[in-house]
Amino acid sequence: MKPFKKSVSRKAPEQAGAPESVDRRTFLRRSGWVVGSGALLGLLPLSTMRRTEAADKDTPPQPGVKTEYRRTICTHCSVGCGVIAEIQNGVWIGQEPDFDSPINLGAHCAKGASVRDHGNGHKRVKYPMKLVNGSWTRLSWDQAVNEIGDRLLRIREESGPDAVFWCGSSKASNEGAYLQRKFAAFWGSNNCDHQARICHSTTVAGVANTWGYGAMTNSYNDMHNCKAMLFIGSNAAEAHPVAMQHVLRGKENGAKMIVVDPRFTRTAAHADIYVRLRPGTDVGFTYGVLWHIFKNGWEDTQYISQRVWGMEEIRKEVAKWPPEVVANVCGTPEEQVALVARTMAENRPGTLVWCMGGTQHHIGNNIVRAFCILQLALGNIGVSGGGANIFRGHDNVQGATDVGPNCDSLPGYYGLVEAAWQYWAEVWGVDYEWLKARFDRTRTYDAGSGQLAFTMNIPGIPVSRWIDGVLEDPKNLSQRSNFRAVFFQGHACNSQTRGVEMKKALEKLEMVVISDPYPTHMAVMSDRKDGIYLLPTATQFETVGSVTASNRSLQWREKVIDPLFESLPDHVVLYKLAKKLGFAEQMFKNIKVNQDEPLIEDVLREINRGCWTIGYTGQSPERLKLHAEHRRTFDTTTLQAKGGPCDGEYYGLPWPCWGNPGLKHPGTPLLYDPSKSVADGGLVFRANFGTERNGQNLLAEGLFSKGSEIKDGYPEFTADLLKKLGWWDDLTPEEKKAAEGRNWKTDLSGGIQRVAIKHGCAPFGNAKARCVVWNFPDAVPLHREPLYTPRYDLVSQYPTYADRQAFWRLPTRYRSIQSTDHSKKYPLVFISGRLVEYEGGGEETRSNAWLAKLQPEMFVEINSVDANNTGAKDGSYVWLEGPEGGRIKVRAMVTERVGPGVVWTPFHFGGWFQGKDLVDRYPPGTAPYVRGEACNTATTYGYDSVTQMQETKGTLCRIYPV
Amino acid sequence: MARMKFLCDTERCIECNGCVTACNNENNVPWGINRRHVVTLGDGRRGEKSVSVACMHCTDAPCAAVCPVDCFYTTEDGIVLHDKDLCIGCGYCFYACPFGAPQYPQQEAFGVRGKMDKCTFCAGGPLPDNSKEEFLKYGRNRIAEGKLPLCAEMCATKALLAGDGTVVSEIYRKRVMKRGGRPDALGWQTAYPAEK
Amino acid sequence: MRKTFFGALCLLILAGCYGPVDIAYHEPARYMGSMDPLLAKERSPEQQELLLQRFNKGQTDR
Ligand code: SF4
Repeated sequence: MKPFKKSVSRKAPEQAGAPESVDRRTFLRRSGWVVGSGALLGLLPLSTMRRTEAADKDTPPQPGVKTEYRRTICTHCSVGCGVIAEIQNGVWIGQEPDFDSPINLGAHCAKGASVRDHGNGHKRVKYPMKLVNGSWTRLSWDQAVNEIGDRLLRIREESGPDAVFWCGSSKASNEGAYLQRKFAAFWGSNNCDHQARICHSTTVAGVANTWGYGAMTNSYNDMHNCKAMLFIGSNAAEAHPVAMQHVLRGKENGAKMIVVDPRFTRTAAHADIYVRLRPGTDVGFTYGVLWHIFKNGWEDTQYISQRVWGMEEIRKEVAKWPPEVVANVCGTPEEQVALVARTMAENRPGTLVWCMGGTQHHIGNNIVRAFCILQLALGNIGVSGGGANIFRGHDNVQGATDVGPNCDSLPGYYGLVEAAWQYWAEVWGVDYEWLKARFDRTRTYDAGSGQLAFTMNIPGIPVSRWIDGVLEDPKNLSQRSNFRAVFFQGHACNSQTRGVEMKKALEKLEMVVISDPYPTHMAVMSDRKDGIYLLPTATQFETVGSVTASNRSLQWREKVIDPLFESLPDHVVLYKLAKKLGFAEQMFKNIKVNQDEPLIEDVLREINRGCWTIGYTGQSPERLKLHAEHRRTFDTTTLQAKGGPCDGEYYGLPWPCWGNPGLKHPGTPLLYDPSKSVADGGLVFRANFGTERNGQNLLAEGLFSKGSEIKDGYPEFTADLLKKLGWWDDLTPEEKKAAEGRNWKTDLSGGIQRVAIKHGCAPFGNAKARCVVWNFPDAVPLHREPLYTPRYDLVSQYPTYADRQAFWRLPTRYRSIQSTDHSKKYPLVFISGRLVEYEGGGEETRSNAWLAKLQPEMFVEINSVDANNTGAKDGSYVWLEGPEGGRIKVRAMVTERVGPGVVWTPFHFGGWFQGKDLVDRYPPGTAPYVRGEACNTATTYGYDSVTQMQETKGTLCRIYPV
Repeated sequence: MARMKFLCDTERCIECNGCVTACNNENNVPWGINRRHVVTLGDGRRGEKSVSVACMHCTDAPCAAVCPVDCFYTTEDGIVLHDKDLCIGCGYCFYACPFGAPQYPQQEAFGVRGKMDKCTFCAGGPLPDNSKEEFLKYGRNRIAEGKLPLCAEMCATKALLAGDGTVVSEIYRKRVMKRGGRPDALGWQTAYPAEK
Repeated sequence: MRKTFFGALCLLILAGCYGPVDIAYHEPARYMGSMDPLLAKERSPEQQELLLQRFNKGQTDR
């Protein structure tokens, strides 16, 4: 490789004098081994074996054999790139670019371009297995379901339904995720969750509480229209690569691109302005920007007076963040903050993009609200080219958040109050009393803030805390017992913090069930000798269903190949288990089941029937399939179809797609955009927080969407409001019957929504966005130092919260953690992030030969200053130890990408634990090609004060040579 | 007649490696080698630039000039290909090539150098088009199917372009004008030696 | 007799030395492998048009 590099630098003379810069691939090649050059390094048998194995499964295209083309959606991120698979005789032999998709125009990143290898499935779990005396034993599906089911029933009998944790997945289809939630409900517990908890839960809660919905407001494509783009804590070039196609088109159209990140990311490499900040100080930085905006009068006063409530209180807080304070707390030079403010003010509309750099803090909800406030001050929400463009992570994390397994809500954000349960019981066609009886009714528990409630109405234990659900003293729990068993369907455990305690938790459990295409880190990380079940579960390429991209568009996936080996899709696994546990008949009442396989289209229809709150009602399977077929007709900037059978509709019917499918609502491409009528996808801010507060009007003033017959703000629509407005008689007689006493969210006929829209109104009302969220711990977003902070001197000024006794059923510690200063012994800030080749916990992508060969090893990026101080040599192994004692053995990569005082690791690795490769614990033939330390073995305690998001973007560590 | 060229627009390349895996996927590239690489200059510093490089299909190909067994040929469209039945795996072309494009799969144990393998512009080799033999030896022949190299067709940001040099340069020129900068695509000069 | 035999032998031996006179000189970079059928295909204007269309379909920003 060296001559290659040399010749390139010859072409770039400006590099000549600079200190040698090594890119991370060269680094890995030098530091150890690259798959394939293994012969030199004594890894020969392995590498030859791998090659033979890969060659055995070669599937060359056969000339003269009919090739079928199937269209699906990439399963690796929320961009939602179209994939075209070439199939011969049921075998996946090739991939073609999906030029017609308006989202990716044929493009893929490394992951999307390699999805065909999943169709080979070399490393898959091939049949059900259980761990007996340390070895993996093959089972039949019936045996597995019976054994697991019997054990679950016994646990339920002895400890109640809350003693099992049901972890679902953001990688399931909408239908699969919905069934995961429904399954937990019918089992009788809210102890279910999925990846959104640890990726954007703070966004969802913070943003929804600001203006109505906690989702990306615009779309990737709409970024062509931006004049400015501010990325804070988002590394789109690695996490959402194809989104960069739209970002860079926007930049070519003249947008100014700003990246704010502790790390000079690959996204930053394309920015006009790059600003470093200290991890966890985003609130301070944002207020620093607002300080300049207010000082210069750059805020949009008309917008604020019509559409925003509470900005005055924000001003008071912002006044505490003059440039010198920002420079001290965030470590950002004064002039850079001013430059960002000026650029955003002078280039409107501008968008703000954030990801996990903003969300994964114990004050994540504060941070995301500060971002919203900045955009509101600039008048950037509800306009094309503006928006809060929250890039979601997994391919269906948006959909799973909307309708899937969330421990704090039923599908469609209906919450867990009694009325919500009654509503869903009606949709499901089951008796509410029966459903209630499925739950633990033995007693009530502390639901937080002192009230008592039954567990049916208390949010379950979230996935970020499941280990505490196992380990915490049961008398501190707001439920009857600890977890005795866990069921993980499509979720990697190495993405959650506190690996050392996780190992303990796993060892304490009676049963661990992993329903996944791959064994995952969870199967190997503990010293268990028994009681782990592996259920081979299909990928989304082996089934059908819909998936919601980050921009809220739903896309239909065709089945590419039959499930490999003995794998079954999520919904079949759930059906089999439900049957064994005795509630399949109730659960699948409205859903046709064919030989244990629930009909996916029927599941979507049930979602359509129930999810009025977020407009998941108009996206019938038929409409989604039509969009897929005619995707070429959609514009690549507006996403609107020009001509053809979908004329005027937006691609994938981005939610809210109001009313019944028959209403033919086109979907809402930009949230809160009043320049269009609601019937054409326009919207205003949602009236979800009442109509007034402290005598002040919370409804919009003098602002309404195009064509609205009410020329001012208005509350959400109910049957009563229709009557008051004299619009009741616009309902048909059947609609009247269904709508009586209901509101826009609970009227199953959709009549209330239809009539509101007919009169140009948004069903959810027309209000102001609120900057002050009075129901949150910090009504006005505040900066608080991370629990493990390197600036202990700032703790007295920006302290964390008091500890809480019952918060999501668990005691949750804040002050008692922060009260110890760890910054002397652990002086480096430790953050983590994405590599473009891998996704999430990485088991699937590290088992993909084409991806694995590009990123063969776990590493830590460390600045040369810290490397010299700690004695870490480039390319050599170091220990990275967290203040709670977990430590990982990784290669040091010395780079200027991170500043002094900060180290960074990728989070996709697993299969090692504290220096030991666990390869021999995997079932034979299933160990991923690439294994490495899970960064979260060394991460620490710290959870968001609203959503229990884990604090991974900012803990501490120390580094020392091995 | 078209002259097929690759061009990587460094202003758009994000080092996502989509081109590399697309190539692996399409051509069943032998284990242990990649026909295409993304190279990053100034990694982690301001001014960091990435560029995707493979065989540039030079007009006056240095590999062909030095090959002792003359296994290289250039198609009508200017694609540089070679005959693996002639190739002796000597490695001379690797030294001649300014881009390090030729690769040698490890054929057996003990690191014996195999026949040279390199980017074919998805045009296979000198065997019947789209035959199984051609696929196994050289990879997919997309050109014969009326398609262009998959790496470019799948590029995440349309940074990597592949097609007739005049059309490619026209797109690139427009982008440069829009950005108001100067062309800075790596390798362009080498691939287009002094447009005579 | 002996002389004649020797002369004949020499002739015979020399005869064995004869070979075709059109010797292949090494011409650098002249392709020595088998013909690629693609070359003929590329010459057809339809194929050229196909590739151009393909380019415009897939690699432009639309
Ligand atoms: S991972 Fe994301 S960006 Fe990459 S191909 Fe898949 S959907 Fe597209």
